[in-house]
Amino acid sequence: MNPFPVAWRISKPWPFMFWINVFLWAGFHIFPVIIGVMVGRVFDALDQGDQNLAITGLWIYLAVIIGRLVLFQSSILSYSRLWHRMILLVRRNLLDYLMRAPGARVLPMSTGAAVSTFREDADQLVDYVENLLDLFGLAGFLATSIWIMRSISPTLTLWAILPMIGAFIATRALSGRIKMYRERLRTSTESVTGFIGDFFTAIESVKATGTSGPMIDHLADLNEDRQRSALRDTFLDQTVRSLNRNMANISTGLVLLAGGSLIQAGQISIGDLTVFLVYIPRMTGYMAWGGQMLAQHFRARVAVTRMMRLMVDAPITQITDPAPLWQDGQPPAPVPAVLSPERRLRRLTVTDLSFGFPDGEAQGIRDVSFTLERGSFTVVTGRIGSGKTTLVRVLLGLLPRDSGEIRWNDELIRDPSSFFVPPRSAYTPQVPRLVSDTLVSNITMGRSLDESTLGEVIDLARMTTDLGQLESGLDTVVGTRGARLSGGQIQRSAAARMFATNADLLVFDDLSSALDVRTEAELWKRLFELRDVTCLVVSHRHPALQRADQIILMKDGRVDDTGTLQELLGRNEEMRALWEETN
Amino acid sequence: MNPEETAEKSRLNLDVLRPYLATRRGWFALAALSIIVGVGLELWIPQILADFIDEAFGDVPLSQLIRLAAIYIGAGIGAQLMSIASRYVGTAIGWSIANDLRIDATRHVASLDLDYHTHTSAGALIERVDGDIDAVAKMFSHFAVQVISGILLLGGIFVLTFRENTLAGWTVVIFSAFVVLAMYLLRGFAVAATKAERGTSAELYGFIEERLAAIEDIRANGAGGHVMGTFQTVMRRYYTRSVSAWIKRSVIWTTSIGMFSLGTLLALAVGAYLVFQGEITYGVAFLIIQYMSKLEGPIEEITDQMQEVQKAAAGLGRLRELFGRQPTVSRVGTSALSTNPLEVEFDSVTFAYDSEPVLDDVSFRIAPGTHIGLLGRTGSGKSTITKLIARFYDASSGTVLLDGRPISDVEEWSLRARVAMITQDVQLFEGSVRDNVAMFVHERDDTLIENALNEIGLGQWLASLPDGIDTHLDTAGKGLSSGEAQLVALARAYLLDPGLVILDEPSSRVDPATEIVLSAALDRLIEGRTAIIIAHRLATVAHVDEIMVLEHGRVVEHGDRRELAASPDSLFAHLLETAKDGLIRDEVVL
Repeated sequence: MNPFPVAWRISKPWPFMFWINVFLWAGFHIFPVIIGVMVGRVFDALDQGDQNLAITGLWIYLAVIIGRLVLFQSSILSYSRLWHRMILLVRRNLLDYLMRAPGARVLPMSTGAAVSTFREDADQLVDYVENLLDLFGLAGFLATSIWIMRSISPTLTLWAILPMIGAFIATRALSGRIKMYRERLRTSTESVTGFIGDFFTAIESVKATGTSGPMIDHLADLNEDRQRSALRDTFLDQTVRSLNRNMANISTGLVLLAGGSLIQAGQISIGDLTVFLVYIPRMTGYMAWGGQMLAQHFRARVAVTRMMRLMVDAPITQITDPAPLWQDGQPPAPVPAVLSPERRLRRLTVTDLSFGFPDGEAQGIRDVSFTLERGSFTVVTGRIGSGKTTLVRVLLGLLPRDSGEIRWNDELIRDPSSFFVPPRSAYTPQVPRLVSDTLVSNITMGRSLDESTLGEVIDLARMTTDLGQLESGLDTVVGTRGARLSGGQIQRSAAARMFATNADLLVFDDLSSALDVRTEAELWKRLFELRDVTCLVVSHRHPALQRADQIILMKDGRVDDTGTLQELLGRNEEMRALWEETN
Repeated sequence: MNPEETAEKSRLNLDVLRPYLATRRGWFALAALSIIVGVGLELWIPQILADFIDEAFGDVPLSQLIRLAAIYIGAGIGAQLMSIASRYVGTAIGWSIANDLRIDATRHVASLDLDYHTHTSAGALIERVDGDIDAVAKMFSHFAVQVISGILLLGGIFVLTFRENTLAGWTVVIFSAFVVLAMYLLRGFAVAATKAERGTSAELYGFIEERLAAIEDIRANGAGGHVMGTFQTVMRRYYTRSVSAWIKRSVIWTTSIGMFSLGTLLALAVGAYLVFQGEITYGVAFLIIQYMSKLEGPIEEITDQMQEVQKAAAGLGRLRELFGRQPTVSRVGTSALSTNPLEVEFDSVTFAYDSEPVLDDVSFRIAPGTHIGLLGRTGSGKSTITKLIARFYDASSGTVLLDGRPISDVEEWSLRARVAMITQDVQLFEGSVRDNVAMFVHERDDTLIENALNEIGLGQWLASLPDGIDTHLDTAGKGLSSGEAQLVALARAYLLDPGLVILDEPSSRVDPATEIVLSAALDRLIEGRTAIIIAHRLATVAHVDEIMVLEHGRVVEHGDRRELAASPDSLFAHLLETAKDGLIRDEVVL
C-alpha cells in the first residue's frame, strides 16, 4: 500500500502550519550553500593576500550562521506542534473507526498487537511525513550546490556526483531485502509485546501455578528471535547507510584524481577546490539521508498496511480524515437520544440469519428466524456450542452476518452494528469489560442521568449492597478492566450500564454469575413493571425459561424449536433433557 | 529540577545497568577495536587531503598527486568498514542487554504483589518492559558507539592540531572545553519533562488498550462517542506534556548546532590569520577547518541521540523505581511439602487490606483429602482465604499452616507444585496446546499432557486438532469457548498432580451441558486431594465433605455437610431451604 498519498493527506488539516514548516526547514537546509561559497572566497583572498575580502567573507559567514539558528529554533517551536497533531490524528482516527464505524468489528489481532499498531506504526507514518517535509530542503540544497559546482567545473562536478548516484541505485536494489527484514522485525516485535501483554493480564494464574519461570523462558526465546531480526535489519541498514556515506570519500578522491591536472594547469583556484571539498561531504550526507527516506518509505508502507489490517474494511482515507482532536474545556456529554413513538419497537423480525466463523473456530449459526413482539420476554437457550452467543452477536452486528434479514418494525436493517445501539437497544456481553475509570462513569458511559434515574438503575441491577462495600461508592475507581471489582460486581455494573441507556430492546448474554435465581426473577418482574421494554436473554435458568413468552431453543447453530416452556417440554426431547439437567 | 539533581539521578541510573555491562567484556573489546581503528583512519584522511592541497598548489609531479588521491580513497573505504563493524557490535550489545533487562524486569514485575497488578494495566507494563527498555537498547546501539568514537576523535584532533600550530591547538581545545561544559550543563535539562512525556504516553496507550479490550461493550451500548470524548482529554494532556518536552530538548539541539557552526567559522578565521602571518600553509589551514568540522559530525549525531538518551535516562529512572519496588511476601521458606494430600490450617489469622480488615481472627482446619465448599457473599473474605493459601499475601497476624508447617517456611517451588489454583478468569496464550496446558514448562512429557487433557474430558477435542498437542492456538485462544478454556485450566491443574486444589467460582457462565462436563472433570481432578471450592451455587457443593460459611471476614459456620444440612438451625440448611423454597434447587449466588 503506497504510503505517499496517506502522508500527503495527513497535513491537510493544518496547511498553513505544514507549509510554514516546509519553508523554514528548507531555509535551514539551503543556507549552508552560502557557507561553502564564503569558505572558497576566504581561501581565494588568502591566495591573493586580500585581507579585507577575507574579513567580509567571515562576516557574511557569521550572519548566515545566526540566521540559520533563528530558523531552526522557530521551526522546532512550530514543528513540535505539527508533529503531535499529525500523530494524534492518526491514532484518533484508528480508535474512532474501531469504536464507531458502521459494520461488524472484531479485532483481527491480539489487543497487545493492536496497541503496537497505535504506537509504532503511527510513529513510522509520521516520521515518513517528516521526511517528505525535509525533502524540499534536501532537494533545494542539492540543486543549488550542484549549480554552483557546475559553474566552477562541469567535469569535476560529474566526478563528484557519479558515485553518489551509484550509491543511490545500489540502495534501491537492496530495497526489497530492506522491506523483508523490516517486516520480520515487526512480526517478532509483535510476538514479544503480545506475549508480555497476555502474561501480565494472566498474572494471577501465572503466580498461582508458579510458572512465571518457564513463561519468562518462552519470552526469552521470543526475545532472541527478535534480536536476530533486529541485528539483520541493522546490518543491512548500516551497509546501505555506509554505502551512501562512503561515497563522500570516493567522490572527494575522484575529484582529487581528476583535479590534479586542472590545478596544475591553473584552471582551478584554491578557493574553487575548497568549495568542492566543503560541498561533497554535505551532499553525500544528504544523499545518505535520501537513502534513509527511501527506507522510511518502505517502513511507512508496512505501517499503513498494518493499520488497514487493523481496521479491516476502512477506506484508506480513514487514517487521515480531518477530525477535531480536542476542543477547549470538557468534551460535551452526548445528548441522550429518545426514539419518537412511531420509531419505537413494535416487532423485530429475523429471517434466515446465517453466519460461519471464517476458520470454523466456533459454532456459527444457520438460517435462524424468529420474531420478537414489543414487551415480550424471549429466552435463547441450548447447550454449549449451540450458537446462542453467536446468535445475539450476529443480530447486534458485532459479527458480520453472511446472509439473512433483520427488520425493525417494517424497516430493513442494513447495518445492524450502527442500528442496534441505544436508544434502540443495549447489550450486556457474557464477559463484560469495564475500563479504569469511576464506577459511575462506567455505568453512565457519558450519559447525563439525574439522581433518581441513577438510583433506579442501581437498584434494578441489585447493586445497592455492592455500593456499601466499595470504598467510595459510585465514585470508586474500578481498576484496570474493572479488576478491583468481583466478577459478579462487574456483571451487575454492566447490567446497570444497560439499564442506564433506557433502550427499547435489552439483550443479556447470561446473568447467572451476577445474580442469584430469585433476585434475577425479581429483576425481570420489576423491569417489566417499571418500563416498557423488550428483552432477549441468553439463559438456561428455570425462572427465565418459565417466564419466557417465547423460548428459542438452539442446537448445532440452528433453531431446534420455538415456543413457550410448556409447549417445548411437551414436544421437544432436547428441551426436556436440558430442563432435567439443570434440575 | 536543577542540574545537580539530574546529574545525581543520571549517575544512579547507570547502576541498574552495571551488572549487565560486566558480563560482556569480549563484545566491548571488539567494539573498542573497531572504534579505535576507525577513528585512526578518520584522523589520517584530512592529513592526506592537506598534503594534497599543499603539493597540488606547489610544484610536484602529477603522479604524486594521483598516488595521494588513491591513498585517500583507500583510507576512506577502510574507515567505513570500521564504522559498519562498530555499529553492528554496538547494536548487538544493546539488544542483548535490553533482552536480559527485559527478562529481569518481567521476572521482577511478575514477583510483585497481586495488588500492584490490579492497579497497573497490562498496556502500561508493556510500555515499561518494552518501551523503556528499547530506549536503553538504543542508547547502546546508537549513542554509546558514537559518544566513544567522538571522544577518541576529539583527543586525536587535539594532539594533531597542536602538532601543526600552538594557537590553532589552543583554539580547538578551548572551543571543545566550552562545548563539553555547555553540553554538561544542559545534560539534565529535559529529563523531568521527558519523564512526564513518557508518563502521559503510557497513559495514552493504556487508555487505547482498555478500550480495545472492551470494544463490544462500547459498540453495542453506543458508547463510542463517549470514549472518543474522553480520549480528547487524554490526547490534550499527552500533547501538552510532549510538546513541552520537545521544546525543552530543542534548546539543547539549538545550542549544539550554533556552537559547531561558530567553531568552523572560528577555525577558518584562525587559519586565515595564521596564513596571513605566514605561520601555516593553505593545506594546514584547511586541515584545521576539517578537524573542527570533524567534531560536528559525531556530536551532531550525539545531539540527535540526546533525545534517545534522555528517554533512556527517564526510562532507566522508571526501571529503577520498578526494581526498587519489593514484594511484601518474602520467599525464604526452605521446607518442602509432602506428596500426600495437604492439610490446611488457619490459626487466628487476621488480614487487613489497605488498613481495611478483611479477615478477622479466622481459625479452622481442613484435614488432608477433605473437600470443602466455601460460601459467603462478595467481600466476606472467601477469596482472601485462598489468596493467603496461595501466598499472594501474608497474614497481618496469626499463622497459615500448610501440611502442618507455617506457610512462610514452605519453599516457593514446592508450594506452587503442590497447590493448584484455578482462577475465575482463564487466560490462554498464543502458543501450542502443549504450551497452554503446561504453561510453557517444556520438561512435561507429551503423554502426561495428553493424559491430563483426556482425564479432564478434552480428549475428543484433542483428537479433532490437526497437530494434536502441537496445534497452535490463535491469539489468546480465540478458538476456544469459555467452557473449553475452563477445562484447559483444569487440565493445567491436573498436570501438576497437586496435593491441594483451590477453585474459584467453578462453572459460572456456562450452560448446563458444559456444567456437567466441568463438574465431572472437577471430580476427577480433586479425587484423592484436598480441595477448597469457592462456590456460588449449592449444586457445586452438593458432594463436598465440609461446608464453611463466611460473613464479614469471620467464619460463622464450619462443619460436615450432611450434619449441617440435617441440623435445622444451621445457616447451610437455611440456604438449602431458601433454595428449595424458590423455583429451583440448583443455584444460589452468595
